[in-house]
Amino acid sequence: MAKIDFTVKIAGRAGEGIAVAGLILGKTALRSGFFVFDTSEYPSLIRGGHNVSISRVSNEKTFSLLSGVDCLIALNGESLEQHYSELSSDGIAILNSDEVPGAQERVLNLPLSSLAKKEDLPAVTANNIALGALVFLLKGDPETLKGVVADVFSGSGSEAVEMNIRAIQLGYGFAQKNWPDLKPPFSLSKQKPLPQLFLTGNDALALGAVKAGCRFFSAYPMTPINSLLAFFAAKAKDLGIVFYQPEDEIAGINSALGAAHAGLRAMTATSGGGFSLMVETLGMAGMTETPLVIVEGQRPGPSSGLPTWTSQGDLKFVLSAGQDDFPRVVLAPGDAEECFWQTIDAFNLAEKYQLPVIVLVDKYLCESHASVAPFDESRAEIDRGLLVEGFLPDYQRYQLTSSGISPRAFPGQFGMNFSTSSYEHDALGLAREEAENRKSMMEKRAQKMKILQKETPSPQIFGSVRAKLGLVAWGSTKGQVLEAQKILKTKNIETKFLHVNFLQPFPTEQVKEFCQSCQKVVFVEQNSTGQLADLVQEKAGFEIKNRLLKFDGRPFFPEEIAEEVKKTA
Amino acid sequence: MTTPNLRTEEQIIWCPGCGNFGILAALQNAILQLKLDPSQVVAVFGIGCHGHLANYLKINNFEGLHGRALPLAAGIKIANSKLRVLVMAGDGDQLSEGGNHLVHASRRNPDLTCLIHNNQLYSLTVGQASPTSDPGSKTRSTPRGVLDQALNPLALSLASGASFVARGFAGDIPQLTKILIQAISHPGFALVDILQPCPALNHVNTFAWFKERVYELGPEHDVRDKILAFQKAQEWGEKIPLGVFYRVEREILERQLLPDPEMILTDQSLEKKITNLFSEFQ
Repeated sequence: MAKIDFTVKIAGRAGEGIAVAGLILGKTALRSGFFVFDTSEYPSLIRGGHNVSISRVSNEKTFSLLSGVDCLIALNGESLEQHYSELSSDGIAILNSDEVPGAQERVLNLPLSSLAKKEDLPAVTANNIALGALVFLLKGDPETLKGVVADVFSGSGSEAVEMNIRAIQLGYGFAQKNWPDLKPPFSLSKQKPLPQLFLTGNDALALGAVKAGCRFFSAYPMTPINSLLAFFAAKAKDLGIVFYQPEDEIAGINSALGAAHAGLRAMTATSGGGFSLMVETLGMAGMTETPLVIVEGQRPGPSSGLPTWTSQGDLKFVLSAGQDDFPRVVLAPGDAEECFWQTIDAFNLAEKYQLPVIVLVDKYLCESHASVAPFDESRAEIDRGLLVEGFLPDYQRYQLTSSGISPRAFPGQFGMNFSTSSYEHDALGLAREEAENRKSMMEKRAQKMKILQKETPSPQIFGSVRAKLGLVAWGSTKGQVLEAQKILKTKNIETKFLHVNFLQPFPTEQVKEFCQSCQKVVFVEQNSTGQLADLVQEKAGFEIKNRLLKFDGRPFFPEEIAEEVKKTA
Repeated sequence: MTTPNLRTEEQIIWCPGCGNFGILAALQNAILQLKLDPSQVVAVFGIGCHGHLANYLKINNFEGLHGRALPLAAGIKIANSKLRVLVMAGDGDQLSEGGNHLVHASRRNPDLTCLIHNNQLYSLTVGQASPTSDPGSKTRSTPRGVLDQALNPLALSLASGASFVARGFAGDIPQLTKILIQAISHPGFALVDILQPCPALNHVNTFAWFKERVYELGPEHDVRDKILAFQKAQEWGEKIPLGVFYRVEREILERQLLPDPEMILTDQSLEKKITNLFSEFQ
């Protein structure tokens, strides 16, 4: 089978339906049997800014975007101007020619606005007119496209569905009539579809939380976790879950902690700024040993930073946030699939060890779609940890045990009552200041981490084990590094890649061993200092010199990683 | 059935003559008179002198963070709406650090009872001005007198939409008991501002000072009249009204949030099939 691998960029003004056009294209490709990866770029504006959706379509499994554009849909002249230079040598551009017709080579003028007007369609259907034309050019199946449009607009009523399907037909018909002989070398022609899901990181986090039995989700709006919030807001009632939009992030984490204390699996989500507000309560989760899952979707800071762009700049922050020492777990899934499974792990670890678990993701992962094989949900296990099973006359919530884990009860359960305190407390949960008690309680809580450390899974290694050139990354840069490895391989550069998705407790021994087995190691991170590299220096005790860092808010492209790594090799 | 003793063995560490003794006694009375099962009562505390109360009653106690008791309590109540959830807060705690949460709890109407132990000072940190300190009063943080107007917890809560607003006095335990019984029985958010003399640090607003000024709202006071409630809430100085200022019944937060108003979330199984959710992502 010939390799199919091309990138479509849809660009226009905010409010012109750029993201939804990307979603429609992605689902159409998925239902036509392809693998898809997409991402969107937009400024922190509702209308008027420049928005972009980029989709990579391939008949091989894809892990990220590549740089370069093969098909550009420019809904205005500015979009063509900005992105024309990105077109590959045999790429094509479809331009809304009503504003200014394009005179450049390989630009196809499509009068979107006047076509829409003539057919009495609102201007906002221009995106779908263009998609109709593109699907004709790429020999795609118009019926599959229409099916996707019907599904995507089903929530907006039958009129919206009908209008958008007419828009598709209009564009398809225009292309058929005007460009019958154009045959760009990129194909969307329908193949046997694979059973796949088209998920963003946020979708996968939500599905993981639902599967794990999460019954309470509170979140204050903040990019990039808004679609997670929207999922729960729309589905909570049907799923038997409560979604609560609090007055601020502090209320968000406190209400989640309250729900968890009462016996639910509870989660909150935010970005770095909101997490800053949550930190005092994070410490309370540590002190009161309350299981809690917190999603932190990073974006560039400091302060309000670049709200709608991506970053891995909060690693050190989440590892150490809060006054004094308390146990916590930090997970950093690398893709949608890991988002699903590690969210389930997060709930199990939180309850088993009675502590807060932070799931550290970022804008790029939260909002990029990837095609993923459906999850085998029978593999999901629920472990609630040590629970009291019946009435205990002298119940001690914080009983000292060799594991540091005390049996947990919920208020009102079995006719028992007990106390919990954010102050240092004794086994009964009553505030106590005695030195001896303080020491034993600190040690009790720390003991849980010692046991958890032994359970820390080994980070995954990709590529050739014998390679002498090592790459290390954490969280969402996984996909781009995997793609960079493929590129390097074509240039006969063998690499091995260690992906760290479990950051606290830290798999020190495995990371140390990996680094020592390489002649050269390059750390690839989306922050300005190399926060993981620093952490490895601290934990392993040797210097990490090679750091490939990007911190302009834009995700890495695999090509730039490959290029830089090649220089090191 | 013998009357259960709610007091723990813990020795009380409040200063002699503290208004908190009166609040503890009235709360204990209210729980006993309402015949609440202590294992089904949860008290959530902020941080302040009031927080020591967590050690004195055999109910479920949770000492949370300064200012943050309300959202913590709301989470508990939503999770298990069978529980009777009380919030104990101080004036600095609930009106300064936790002011935002009071506004929104009043608006949302969770079925919680919030007792503000109002001593017009930060007493645990030995005497700085709080939002309810009278203008001009000299405290450790205001040696030349408080510059700001005092915040009015009753008017604030009323304006924010609270369905039950009352004021009690720690020096009148029988009357405070009566108010707490009504507040705890009220379905929805009940705010009780409790005048709590601090004999150690507040030498102006003493028991004697309050006793000369307080009076009880009579049967002629229409608790459904919000304008009248506002009017009464403005009275301060020579005459200070006590009692239930305002009471209406309206939709409760958790009954609207829960998948089914009667559902006890903590009783539900964690197992869930999600295959049917997949179709939306194809």
